[in-house]
Amino acid sequence: MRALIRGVALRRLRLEPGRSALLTLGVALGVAVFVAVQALNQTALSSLGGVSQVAAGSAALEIDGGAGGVPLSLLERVRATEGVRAAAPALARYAREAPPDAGGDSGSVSTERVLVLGIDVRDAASTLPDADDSVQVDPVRLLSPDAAVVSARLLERRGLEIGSQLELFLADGRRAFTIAGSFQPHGPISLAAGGDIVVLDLALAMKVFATDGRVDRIAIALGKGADSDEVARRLRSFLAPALDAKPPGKAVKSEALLGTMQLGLQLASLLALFIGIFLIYNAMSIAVVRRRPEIGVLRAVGTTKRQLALLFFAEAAAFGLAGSALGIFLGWLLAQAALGGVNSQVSQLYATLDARTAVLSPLAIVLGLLVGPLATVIATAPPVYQALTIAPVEAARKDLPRRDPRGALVKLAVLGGIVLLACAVGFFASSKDGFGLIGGAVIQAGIAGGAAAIAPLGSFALFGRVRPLLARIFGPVGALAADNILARPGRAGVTVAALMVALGGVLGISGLVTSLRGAVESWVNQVLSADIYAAASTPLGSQTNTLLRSSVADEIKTIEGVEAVYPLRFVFEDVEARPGNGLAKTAPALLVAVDVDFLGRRAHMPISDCLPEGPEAALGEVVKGDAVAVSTNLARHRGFSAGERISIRTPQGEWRPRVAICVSDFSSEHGCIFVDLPEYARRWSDTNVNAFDLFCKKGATDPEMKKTVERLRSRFGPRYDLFFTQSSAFRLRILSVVESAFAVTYSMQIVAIGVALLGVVTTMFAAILERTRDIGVLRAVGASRGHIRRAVVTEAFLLGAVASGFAVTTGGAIGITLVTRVISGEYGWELEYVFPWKQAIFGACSATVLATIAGALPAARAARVKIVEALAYA
Amino acid sequence: MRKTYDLARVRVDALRGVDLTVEQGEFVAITGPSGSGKSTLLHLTGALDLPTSGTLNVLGEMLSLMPDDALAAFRRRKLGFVFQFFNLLPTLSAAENAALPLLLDGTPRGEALDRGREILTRVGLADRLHHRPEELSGGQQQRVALARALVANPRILLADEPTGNLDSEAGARILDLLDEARAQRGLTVLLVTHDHEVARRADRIVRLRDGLIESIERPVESERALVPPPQPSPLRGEGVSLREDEVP
Repeated sequence: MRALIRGVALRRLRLEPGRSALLTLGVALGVAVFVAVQALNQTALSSLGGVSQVAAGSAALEIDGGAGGVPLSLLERVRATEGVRAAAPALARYAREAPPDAGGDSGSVSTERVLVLGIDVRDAASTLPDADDSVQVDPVRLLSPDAAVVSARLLERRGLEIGSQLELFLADGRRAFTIAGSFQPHGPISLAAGGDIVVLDLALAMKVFATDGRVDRIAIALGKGADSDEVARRLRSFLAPALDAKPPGKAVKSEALLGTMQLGLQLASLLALFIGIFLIYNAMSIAVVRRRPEIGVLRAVGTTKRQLALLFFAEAAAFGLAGSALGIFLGWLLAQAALGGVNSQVSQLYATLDARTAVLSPLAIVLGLLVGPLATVIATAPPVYQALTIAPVEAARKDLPRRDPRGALVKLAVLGGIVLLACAVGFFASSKDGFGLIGGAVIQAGIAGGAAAIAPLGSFALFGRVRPLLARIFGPVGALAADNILARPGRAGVTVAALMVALGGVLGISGLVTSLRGAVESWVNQVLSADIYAAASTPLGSQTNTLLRSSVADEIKTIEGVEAVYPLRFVFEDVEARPGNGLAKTAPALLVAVDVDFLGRRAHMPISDCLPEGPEAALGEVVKGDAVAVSTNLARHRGFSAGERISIRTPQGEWRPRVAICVSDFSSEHGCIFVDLPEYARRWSDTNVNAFDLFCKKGATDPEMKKTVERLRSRFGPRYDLFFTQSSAFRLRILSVVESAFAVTYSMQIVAIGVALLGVVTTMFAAILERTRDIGVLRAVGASRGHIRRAVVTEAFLLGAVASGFAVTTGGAIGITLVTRVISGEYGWELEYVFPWKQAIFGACSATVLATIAGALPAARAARVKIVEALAYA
Repeated sequence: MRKTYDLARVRVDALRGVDLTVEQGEFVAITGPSGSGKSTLLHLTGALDLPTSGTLNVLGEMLSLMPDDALAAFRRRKLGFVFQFFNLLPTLSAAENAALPLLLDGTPRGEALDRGREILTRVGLADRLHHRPEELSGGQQQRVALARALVANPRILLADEPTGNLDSEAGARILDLLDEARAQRGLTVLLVTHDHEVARRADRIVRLRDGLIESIERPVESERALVPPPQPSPLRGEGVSLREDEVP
């Protein structure tokens, strides 16, 4: 067997470097997308999780207070608890650097984010985050009240040294710190903010972030022999109901927040892999075609079918392994390139993420190494089966009659039809509440798979019909191109299916974005009524803004032209979910603390459900503090309606306000709860805010508002890092968030289209190999090289055009499923599907043009065929 | 004229200095053992390949000086090929195969197919116009190949073992059609064959061995007389475009 592999398979690899390279590249691209997605998910989770694990060290338990934090006053009691060896409180926040001339959108210098950690430096249990002996500290400066120890990377990037000053934007505006030391962070924490970390004494950190005596968590190390369950029980005996002592969470909350994005990316990666399998199938079937005489000889001299199968599978696995190795490297590069997009997407929608290096976990590498060979072996099975069914005497014949493929195509199409029918039944049988992401993924995979199974027969029938037309339009070249496709409908069908699935996936997402954008556009036009929007550290208000004291609103109000200022606080908090909605008992939701009077009078939010007393009375209930307004998607998804009570976690324990009113809102896929701002401040002991809605004096003209914005920028930009955006620009920014939310998924799918286009190249090469003799005949009877080139390019064009046509239909079906079932089921948003015409036309034209271009290389090769050699070709 | 092939590790001298002139309207049979250079000589004459050295003048054209597109046009307008293995395009019907040189030359599709159908009718395949090659017998396929070779009214017909893959009856019919076309058009024919009976039909027999001309002989009349006279064939019908003044 070894001799067979060495003498036949390996020698072939050497003799056919082009095919080997193409096959390896196909595997590599499929694996690259898969690995990139694993790396991106891992990086996001590690980075977010790393921040949440600050100072946890070897902690066996932690007390986590959620959005409200943990009162530091508990520390002494925790330390005194039996079984607790040490307890380390910690605080982690992002802040923007504040070099001179920077700040908000008035600054001229772009600034970067740093991760600020507050730890109790006096406590022996606390250590610098995963630092080693690289720590250098000036003990004198460390005693200074504004001392900070910073990571070596930050020192180097900013050209600072121990003793330098570092300015940051914080709750009270700019603040300078004296650098008292440096350290080299390791582990997950080093991923956050690209390793730009500032460590402050806990007390100082609490002060500058205005946490009102609260920390994020307290990490607990146990004494020797102490039982963690027992210690946790003791701790719970005095903890407030909202607090719990449990083993470090390992970013469970991050996973809950990022779940949707992660699944979207995983689907994109599986799509790329699926298309990679098509490509590998094509390439391996070329190998079988080329080696038919060789197979005949090997069988004739006594090689068993099993040995032949092993030969092909060994070759496939070798390609798979080589492609995987390359794919892992490409995947890391891809992840690195997409990291900015993921940072922006996660930060806009979920939590601050500023990872700058993609992490490739050993598991991702192992999965990458496994997935390539596995996909290759799976894709190789059909051609190998085909090879083994050829009788030795047949395999050696030059004029082997081709098998009529129509029977197989019909069987495949029937199977595809059954799958599509099942999808249709699932679609129509499901209620408008739809199905979750997993159910949606299954239906989408069914649509893509069913359509892919029908595509070969569809393209065969279509090309048969249009052949006379092609002959009229393109002359003999068109007829030959159509004939070539019709002669090998299986391979052409696979190529059409691969391109169709890839483009269909993109158009499906496009449909979702177009529909979501339309809904959000109409929502922002109705709801956003402020003249100017202000937020710290980013132009959009969200849970990731640098927190400011609410008193900043009073300062803003003093600016000429400003009539009213409404502060807003955004925070993710655990909120109850009813069983049967695919959620855990509690799941994070976006808490929006706002002046409810403002909400009622100015925002004009569309109401979907309300207490019987009417909207005004309902809002009055919210102001009284025993009720909340919730977004329609939260109410639908979690099974609540007006009048019912909903449980919300607060630092003081469970709060069960009534749902007074349900309003349409697109702020978060997790749903929103609107709480009156004073009530929030009281229950969460938090007077900080993220953003402000500003109203100008009645009748103010646009130039006057612009002047007001200029005044605001010059006064507060450099001081608080505040961004001020006028209404029209703000709306555009929000719409751009909708687009960017799917940017990474798009980019992964575009790689999948690249893989499918490689499939066009391999198909064309395969076709040329199989038709070498025909090309020789054509040249012999007078076809010029131009004729041959045009025939091949026309064939590629036809494949691209038909695949694009089919993709429009498939993409439409995927889009409708996403919009009307998955989004409603998973997020509770009821959207109207809008077909993405522009994207469909652009995508179909681009794919057709790219497929035509992809045919250029094989066309050039076909044109170079030497006539005499081609006529002698087997 | 010489032709050398550089293979992976070997150099093969297929033709080692061949000097041959063929007159207009002449029927020359090229014979010789395998590997003697017969097919190479035919391929070079048919502009399918170029000589390594020497000159090759066909119908007044120096083929080795012509660009590739001009060579392609030369093949489709002035030459006709018939191969041992028919070499029809499997996806085209008999009529389309026959009309292929015209289609490639830009003749309007309808007109080209009409001429293809017409010539197929002349070779006795009127009832097989829409059949694909795999639906035809070997003899029928070779008649389609002959129709394709003649459809553009070429000046020269090159045939590489045209009867080598046929039974004797089908082979004889092809040769009769060839004679017929030649007799009507004054077509020059170069025919490679192993078959002595076939070679005896030629005006001259060129024997090659090891890439060199071993002998050139003219079959004695008595031998030629043994060859059965051409049988009446459909090619004798009116309207066959084989007259010299129609040659493009």
